[in-house]
Amino acid sequence: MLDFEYLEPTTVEEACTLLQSYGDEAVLMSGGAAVTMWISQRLLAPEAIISLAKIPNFDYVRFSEKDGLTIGAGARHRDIEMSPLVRQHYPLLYETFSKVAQPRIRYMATIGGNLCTGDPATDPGTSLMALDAEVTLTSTEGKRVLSLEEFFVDYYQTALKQGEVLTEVRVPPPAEWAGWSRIKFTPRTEEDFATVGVSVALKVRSGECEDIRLALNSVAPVIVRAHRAEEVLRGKRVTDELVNEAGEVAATEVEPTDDMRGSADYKRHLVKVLVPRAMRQALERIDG
Amino acid sequence: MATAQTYSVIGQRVNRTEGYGKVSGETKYIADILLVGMLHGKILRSPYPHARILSIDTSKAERLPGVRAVVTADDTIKQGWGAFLQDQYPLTVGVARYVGDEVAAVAAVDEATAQEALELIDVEWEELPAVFDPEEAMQEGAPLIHAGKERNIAIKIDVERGDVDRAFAESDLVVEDTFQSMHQWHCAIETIGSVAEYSHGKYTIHMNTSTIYMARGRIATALGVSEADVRIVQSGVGGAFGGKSCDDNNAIVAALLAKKAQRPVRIINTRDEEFLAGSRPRVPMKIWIKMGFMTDGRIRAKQIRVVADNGAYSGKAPAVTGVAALRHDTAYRFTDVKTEAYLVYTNKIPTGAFRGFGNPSAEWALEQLMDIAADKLGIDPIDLARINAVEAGYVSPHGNRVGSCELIQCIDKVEELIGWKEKRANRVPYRGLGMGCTVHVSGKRHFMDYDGATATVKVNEDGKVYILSGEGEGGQGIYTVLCMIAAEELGVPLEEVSISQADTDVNTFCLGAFGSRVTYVAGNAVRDAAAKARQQLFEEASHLLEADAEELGSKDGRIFVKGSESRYITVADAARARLFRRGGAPIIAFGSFDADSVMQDDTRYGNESGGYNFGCQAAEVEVDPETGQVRVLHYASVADCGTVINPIGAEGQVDGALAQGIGYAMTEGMTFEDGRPSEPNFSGYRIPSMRDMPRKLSSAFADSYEPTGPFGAKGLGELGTDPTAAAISNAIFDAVGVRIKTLPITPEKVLRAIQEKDA
Ligand SMILES: Cc1cc2nc3c(=O)[nH]c(=O)nc-3n(C[C@H](O)[C@H](O)[C@H](O)COP(=O)(O)OP(=O)(O)OC[C@H]3O[C@@H](n4cnc5c(N)ncnc54)[C@H](O)[C@@H]3O)c2cc1C
Repeated sequence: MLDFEYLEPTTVEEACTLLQSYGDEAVLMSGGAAVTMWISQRLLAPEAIISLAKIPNFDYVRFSEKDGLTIGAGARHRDIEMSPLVRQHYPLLYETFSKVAQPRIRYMATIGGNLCTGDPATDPGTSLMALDAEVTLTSTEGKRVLSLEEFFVDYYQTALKQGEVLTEVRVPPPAEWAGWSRIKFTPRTEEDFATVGVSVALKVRSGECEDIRLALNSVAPVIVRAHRAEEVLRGKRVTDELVNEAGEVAATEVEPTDDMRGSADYKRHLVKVLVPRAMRQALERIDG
Repeated sequence: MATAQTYSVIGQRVNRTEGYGKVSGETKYIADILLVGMLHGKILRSPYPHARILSIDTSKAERLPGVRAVVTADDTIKQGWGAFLQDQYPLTVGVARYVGDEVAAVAAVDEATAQEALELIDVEWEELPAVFDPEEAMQEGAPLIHAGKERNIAIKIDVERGDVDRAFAESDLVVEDTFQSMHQWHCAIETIGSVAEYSHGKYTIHMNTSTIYMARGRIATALGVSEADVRIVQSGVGGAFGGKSCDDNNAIVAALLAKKAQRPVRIINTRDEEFLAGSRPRVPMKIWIKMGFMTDGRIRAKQIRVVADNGAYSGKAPAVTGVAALRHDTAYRFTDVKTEAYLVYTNKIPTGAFRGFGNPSAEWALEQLMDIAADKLGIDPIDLARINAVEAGYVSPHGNRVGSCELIQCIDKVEELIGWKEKRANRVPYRGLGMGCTVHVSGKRHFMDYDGATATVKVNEDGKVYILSGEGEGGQGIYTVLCMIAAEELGVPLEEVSISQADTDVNTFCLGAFGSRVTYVAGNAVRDAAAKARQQLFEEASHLLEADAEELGSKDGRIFVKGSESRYITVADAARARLFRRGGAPIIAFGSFDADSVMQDDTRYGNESGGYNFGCQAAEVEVDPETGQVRVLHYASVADCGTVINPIGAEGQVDGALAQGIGYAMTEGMTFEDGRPSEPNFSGYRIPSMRDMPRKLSSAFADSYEPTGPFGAKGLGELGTDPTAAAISNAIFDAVGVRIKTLPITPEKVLRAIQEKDA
């Protein structure tokens, strides 16, 4: 029978202490979009649920020229999507968050919950990785800051340790000469998870690619960064051939599997097609 | 063509009669029915596709605190039941035949206890060899699913009209191909559910079925009681689409538990259960089809072979297979046709009735073959359809007699709405156009040689009108339509008319909602009752107005002398005058209608329906040649449903049907692993959302009038789903020259086909 304690700490410290004391028996819940589903599908039967919903000021979305964007882990997808700051300074994030599931989920689900699920099919982590975001993990021991590449460890597995809470996501200030693109390929229904997702952020001055970050979702056990594909362009003059080559190389950096969204071969093919498309779109967006 | 007269209510854009209750939350859906002492039932289902029960021990479950009853086959009469073949049992007798088959059930004080008790039931199973593919199941030596059903063939249809061999020999062009259709679930927002009570030998079952009398008959058979010992009361129905026509065991098991526990019992399917063993999905079919044409485009011959997947039990699949095998011969002019169809048992979920009822599967094949032929003949596909389209007065080779028919008008309108000619003249790379036509019935004569309806109309002493009808509301808007018909006939405002809940103890016999029948068949019964009630009102009014009844008219609740409308009394005046006097009586009239159709004989010759409705659709798609993604840019759908009674409702039917057609074409589809649906949920099984609808949707209705219909109306609900998958596939062919022959049309299939073509 479904029977659990429902705990509602009002500070991060209190949440960390509770997590510490309950250990494996408790599950942390933020928006609950994933947790409630797991419970109703009987994948999870916790002794206690520790809700983060009552912690004040846990859902902020702030921007400063110096620090960039800082987001409280309790911010809902909808908060981020609707933030004028995000729209103005990080159009890639606006584009990404506005295409997660549908508004019903976006009003409920939080950025912390999304990232901590460690689901490689999710979108925000991909674009955050392309923007070089980092996450702050807090426990009774203190804080540590990780890049998203370090944070995503394996299929549904993150670097979170027992007793740790993800408290903040930080995105560096937007670069100059920057272009971006997000392609969420959802051929079955638009509200689906991506069959393949591509996020790219690049910096090109006078035709030369000074920097590039390319991340993909739904193509491997974790959200992946395609380092070798990035190298094809980094420091080079951007040509059509190189952009296509980057797609070919990216396809060697992914390990998709067969599922109802398509076969592994098909997804690999999509990487070859969508990566160059995303790059071209990003290049078109660079002004000046 | 007859044109519609000017009506005061018919054809108006009105709000739904039952709409307020639905949007305000007042409507009582099955989950809102809470009876005193009600228990919660849960069903233990077979985990195997084919297995024998060696023993079953329920003692631990029975001892669990909170459990009030546990039932197995031993609590049943072990009597098979089913719409056409009585091959299904309420609870597994000996052998379970699919993953999900009902084995035992528990009623407990709450759901969690019932669930826990299920886990305490020990079943010892012996797994049996299973077969999942109908063609394999038809092989000699395949595991036998039902004793006595050789090669697992549930039914076989073998019909030839004319001389097909000669007709093919005389054809200028012969084309043939094979197409595979798929399961499709109804995905109604509300799953199947029931609340059953038992008292003094009588069962009362509240359920969200769309066919209360059909449910009553089948449930009575399964329980071994007579019809009147079962009362079915329809709850709010959160969408049905054919899936709630009582071909599953939910209500029967609730009734068994209610009797044993002597308490009301509710069972509502979870979404998983709905996919596993709830609403019976569309019958998948493998269809080989061959057609002969003359160079001018006329169809000369057709031969079709259908192998249909029945699943473990039959439900409505026998009739669905019949429709797939023969119905289309009423859309185009056919003379020489041959049909061979097999409905074959497999160890999977039983299949059955879903909006379109065999047409979407058949048209997936036939409308693509028409397109293939058009290409070979060098005739524009829309012209090929027009050349062959039937017209009023056509009699199909199987005896269907077409009354009103505006198929050619539908084709013309679709051509115009989608800009067919201009777009074909000014081609854009990777864009293409495709189309398809369909025919549907307005009710079908197949149960007990009856295709009728009954209704009672009473006029209260305040002039308000009440319709007693057992057809029920499945969400399709039929209450509104029936109230509009009564209002028009009586000459009262629509707001003055209301309608009863469907209840077998209160209403007279009705077949319920299937076969696009209710507007036409029940509409006629309501109109008949209303006309008789009006006659009573006029007789009374003739005394009060000192005029002959024949001289009277009525409108807006007033009965007046035609020509001098200031001489009037109200409907309430007449109703009161008739009631409140010595020997008085209320205004009440019984109406009845049975369509002028003819039951098909053993060779499937007959006349299925009193009215045939027609449709034409066209799609404009854009294909991404690098990913295979298909976008429907523009869709046009035109229906000939006779007079449109309620335009808002009719438009909703067209749009909704299209959404399900698009789902069938492109997004839905379930994979099975050893007979088990691999993702029985909405994360795996994707139905289209608002955003997946065509970028532009143009719909219209033919100017049409069916003389036998109420105010000229025919059926509409199903035909909008029928040709959609084929129209989209044809458009893909037009865009990129590849043809997809298996559903669903996934981008991956399209991409592979493009790559193969280019290789
Ligand atoms: C119908 C549906 C469609 C979806 N579609 C998409 C989609 O298109 N794209 C996409 O990216 N995602 C999609 N998702 C996934 C969705 O975004 C995640 O389920 C959601 O973001 C989880 O957030 P939450 O706040 O609800 O997390 P919760 O359910 O509360 O928690 C999820 C997990 O994270 C842990 N957790 C939560 N917060 C913290 C924290 N601060 N620190 C440490 N651990 C924490 C919890 O313990 C739990 O393990 C979809 C989900 C559903 C149900």
